[in-house]
Amino acid sequence: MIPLLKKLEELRNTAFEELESLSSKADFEAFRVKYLGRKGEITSCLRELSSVEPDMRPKVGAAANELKKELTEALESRLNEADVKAKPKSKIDLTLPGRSHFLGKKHPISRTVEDIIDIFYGLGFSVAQGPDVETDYYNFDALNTPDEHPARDINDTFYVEDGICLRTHTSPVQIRTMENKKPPVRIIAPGRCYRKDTPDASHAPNFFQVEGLYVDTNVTFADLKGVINVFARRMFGSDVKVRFRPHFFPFTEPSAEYDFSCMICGGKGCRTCKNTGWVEISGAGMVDPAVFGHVGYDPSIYSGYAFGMGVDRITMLRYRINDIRYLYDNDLRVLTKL
Amino acid sequence: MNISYNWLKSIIPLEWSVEKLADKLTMSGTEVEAIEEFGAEFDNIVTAQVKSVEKHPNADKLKVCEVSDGDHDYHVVCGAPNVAENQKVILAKVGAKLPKGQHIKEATIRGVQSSGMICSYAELSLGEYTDVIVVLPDETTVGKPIQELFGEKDYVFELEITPNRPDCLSHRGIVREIQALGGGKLPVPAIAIEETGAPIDKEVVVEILNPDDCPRYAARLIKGVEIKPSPPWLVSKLHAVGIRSINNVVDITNYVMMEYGHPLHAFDFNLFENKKVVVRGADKNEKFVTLDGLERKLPEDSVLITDGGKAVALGGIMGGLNSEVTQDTRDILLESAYFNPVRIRRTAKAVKLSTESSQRFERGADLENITVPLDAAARLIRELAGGEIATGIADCYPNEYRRISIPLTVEETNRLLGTELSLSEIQSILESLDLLCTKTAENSLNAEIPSFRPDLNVPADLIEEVSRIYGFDNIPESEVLSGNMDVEIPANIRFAKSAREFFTVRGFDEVVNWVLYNPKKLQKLEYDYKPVQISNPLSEDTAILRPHLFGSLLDRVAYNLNRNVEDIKIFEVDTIFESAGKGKLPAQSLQLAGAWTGNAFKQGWGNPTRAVDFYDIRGLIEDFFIHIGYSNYRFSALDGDAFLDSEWSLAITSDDELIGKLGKGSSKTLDVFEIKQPTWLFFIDVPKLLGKREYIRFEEPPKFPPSDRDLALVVDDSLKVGELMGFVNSLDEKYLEDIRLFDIYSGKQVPENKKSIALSLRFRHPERTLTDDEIDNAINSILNRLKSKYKLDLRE
Repeated sequence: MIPLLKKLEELRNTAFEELESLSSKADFEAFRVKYLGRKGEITSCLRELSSVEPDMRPKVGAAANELKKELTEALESRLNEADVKAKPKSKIDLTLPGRSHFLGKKHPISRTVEDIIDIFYGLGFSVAQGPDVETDYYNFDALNTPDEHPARDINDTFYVEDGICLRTHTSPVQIRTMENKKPPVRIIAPGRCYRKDTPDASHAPNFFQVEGLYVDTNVTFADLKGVINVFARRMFGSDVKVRFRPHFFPFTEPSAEYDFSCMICGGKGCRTCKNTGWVEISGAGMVDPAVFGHVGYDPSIYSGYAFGMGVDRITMLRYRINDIRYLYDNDLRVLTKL
Repeated sequence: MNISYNWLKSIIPLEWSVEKLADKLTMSGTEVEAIEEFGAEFDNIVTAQVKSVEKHPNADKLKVCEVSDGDHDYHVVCGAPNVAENQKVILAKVGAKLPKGQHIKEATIRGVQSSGMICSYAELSLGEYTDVIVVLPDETTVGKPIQELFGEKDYVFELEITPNRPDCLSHRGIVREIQALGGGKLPVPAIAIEETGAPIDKEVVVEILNPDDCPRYAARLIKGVEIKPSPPWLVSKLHAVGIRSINNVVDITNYVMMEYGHPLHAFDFNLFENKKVVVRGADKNEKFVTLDGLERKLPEDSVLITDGGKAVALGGIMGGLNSEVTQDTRDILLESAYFNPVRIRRTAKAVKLSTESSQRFERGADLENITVPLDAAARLIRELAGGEIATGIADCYPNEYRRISIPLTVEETNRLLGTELSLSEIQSILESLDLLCTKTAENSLNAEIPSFRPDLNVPADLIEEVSRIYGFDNIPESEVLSGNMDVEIPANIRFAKSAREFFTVRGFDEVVNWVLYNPKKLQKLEYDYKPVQISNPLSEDTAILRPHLFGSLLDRVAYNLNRNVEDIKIFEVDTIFESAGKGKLPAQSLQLAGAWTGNAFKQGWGNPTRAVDFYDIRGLIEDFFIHIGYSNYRFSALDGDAFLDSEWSLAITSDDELIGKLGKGSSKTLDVFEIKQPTWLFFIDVPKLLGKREYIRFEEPPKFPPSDRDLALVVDDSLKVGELMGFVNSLDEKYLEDIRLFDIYSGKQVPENKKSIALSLRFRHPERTLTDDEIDNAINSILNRLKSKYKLDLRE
């Protein structure tokens, strides 16, 4: 064999072996200089061509060039490979929190009132409104409240002047609505009420109620039960049960208080329901004929039901709030989490 | 009111459990608010006998007693003056726990060992006799747990009696409810009374001068009684219902009241100067000293019981100190009367005295039956205090009670309830309540109303009785039919909802504040308004109804800043009030308002932020108006405001009417509310805005593309951009569709006291694409007119 050809063969073996073992950029560069550089091994082989017999030169030359090409390609490929490996780690970090903007929330009381309106709107109730400051006539007299009734006392009711008070319930809206419209009347009236209660965990001197009223021919207590049951389930879910207990109010007869099965414990008994399994929501009943007398409805033709509901109480039950003052402190650390 | 389960069972043989009774009562309108187990606190307390009593060697007032419970003898040191040999007593043994929490332990008292305690009623929390021990009857067996003396374990029901049901304020009244609910029959009281004294009319004469306020007054006389502690059964019965024992006679009047519901009063008759009772109305400014020792000024016409000379009781409310039953009392005049509820209520309210008695008379006592409790009490007094009962009752009853009769039909009952009750079902319910019914036709009846049911007056009252005894649970539940009635929601409620949606998405938290507000802060700001003043406020801080939401919002800003909340964006949409003059209801209207302090953007990585400024709040309001589809407004200079800094604030007007304001809280405002950082505010008068609101109309989208040209104008620093843009708009340049500010610059690139305004002008022709020439012409025309109006250069 031609010695140069053999040398090329050896060169091929050592070069490829060496290439495999390289890793750093500097190594690759040294390798390139050593084998492929102007003074490198292959170049020096080519220079030695003159020592080869002329008829063999093309063959040896081709072999040298072939080796040079192969080594160049291999080096290239190794360099690429190493390049990928050496590339710095990706800077994309999807674990970062998203960019957020200020986001506000509706007050829990508003959410409750809006939901109550939506439910009753769907049941065919219009929304009616009346003034927060009322005459004694609308707040008491027309609702059949006796002159001597303790609710009229200045210790229980706020007065602006003699005969003008802050309404103690939303019931005056019943009277104002019936005065202005003949039956059928079907309304709810959300709004603020005022009672002279010293603030504590369950009392605020101003709070929210929703009043309901439906008067037509043949409206019955059974209808009242139906509407409150539907409301309870739409507000608190289909597991909630309702019970009506007889009670007394001057403006309804029969009068009832109604309770929902405790949504905190599912009716098993807990602190919220004082272990009774029931939470009191509010009062209801059939409109007293004396009230119809004040608005000129004939009780022998028309009958109707009325109900109230405490918005604050319902809100506290929905959000498990244990102190009514949290509703009115408007502490953003609380509100933004509700 | 408290009711004892055992007491009820002493009236009827009740088979219902405590739970069943509670449920039945609650579900028929007598709400059981709590049930307390009673009697379990007497462990290790037994009956015993005193075998010997010796003086304590080291203490004059103490005695050392040998006490036996039958099994063992105990050394007990006792301080009671009435302890004596052979007495049957109550012994608390070592290990007993007294109701007030005291544990009885082995003790050494002044050097003498004591293994227990001989008890007084006070120590057992049963009564007021503190210094004397309870002496039991001689026949008492020793060694028995005292539960046996006081009856078996009891349950006390705390009941809520509604104000219309005075008849339920007693055990017999509750038994009548139980009767109606099917739990037994209320027995007719049969009181055998031994009248051994002189005829009553020889002893006392009753006269009523004010029969409207006192339609009936009955009295019995018991002479020669002995006032002493009551026996254990009576003490414990009263204790169960929350009444402390005083002495045998007073305890009996209380006991009878709790049994029958009728308040009685016992006088020491020997303190009467005349042998008569005269009932009269109080004179103007008359004064009277009640049992509690207080001299009270009475309203005119208050009912006074007199002995013909001096007043001895404030009728229906409280007895007088001058005729009180004491240890020395021998002759008892026992009163059972009926007083006008309205009169009692007025007097009780005026003298600020609410007693068990006044509460019952205020609601209405049982006029027809006042002699029944009188007899029951007289019989018991004789039994427990001895004495002789004068023969007969001094019963002054000028106008006899007339029962009313209420008609009721089956049809109206079912029409109101949604039931299908028959006449016989209705009748049997009413009769179970002791109302006498007469059938008047196929489907109707008349019910006769006794005096113990003053609440029953019209058919609806009877229907209520039927419904509650029939059971609300048994009334069916109808399907809800929404029907075809028109349904509407007022515009202000819809507006509030829409506003909540916008402002919450824009990062504002909604707050709901009290309407009751503090006028002082508004005064300090010299805010001009007509206050709605509350004449009887809870406090000075809540004396008005707020005339503006800014106050509440600023309060909340301060509150939250104090709690380290740094960025505050809050809004409120609620009612505000101003007085409309005396005798008129105030003007009330809906206001939308907000406050913003802190950063303009939420701080976080990669979120460059800065403090909120005027243009944030202005942009917010502009966007809100886009949200609700409102464009009929403009901003104009603000001419002074109590809350806002005029330099940094604008008025929002519509057709020259003010509909809101926005801007920076003035430094004075921030001082008053103790806020230490710039705070931006806005409000909108909702009714005014709704009045100006226009309908949104559909617009075809443009068919041809727009051409946008930018203009950079160098103008005087003092020129207001809004004015310049307004001027361009007012030129009515054909095809100019929109003009928008996209940059504003002052600095090195422009001369001093100048600024560069970069405007983008958008042109569009509705029917074709505009040519460059047309646009150039339009721009030139605009520029020429601008140049003739303002000093300006085009910036290259």
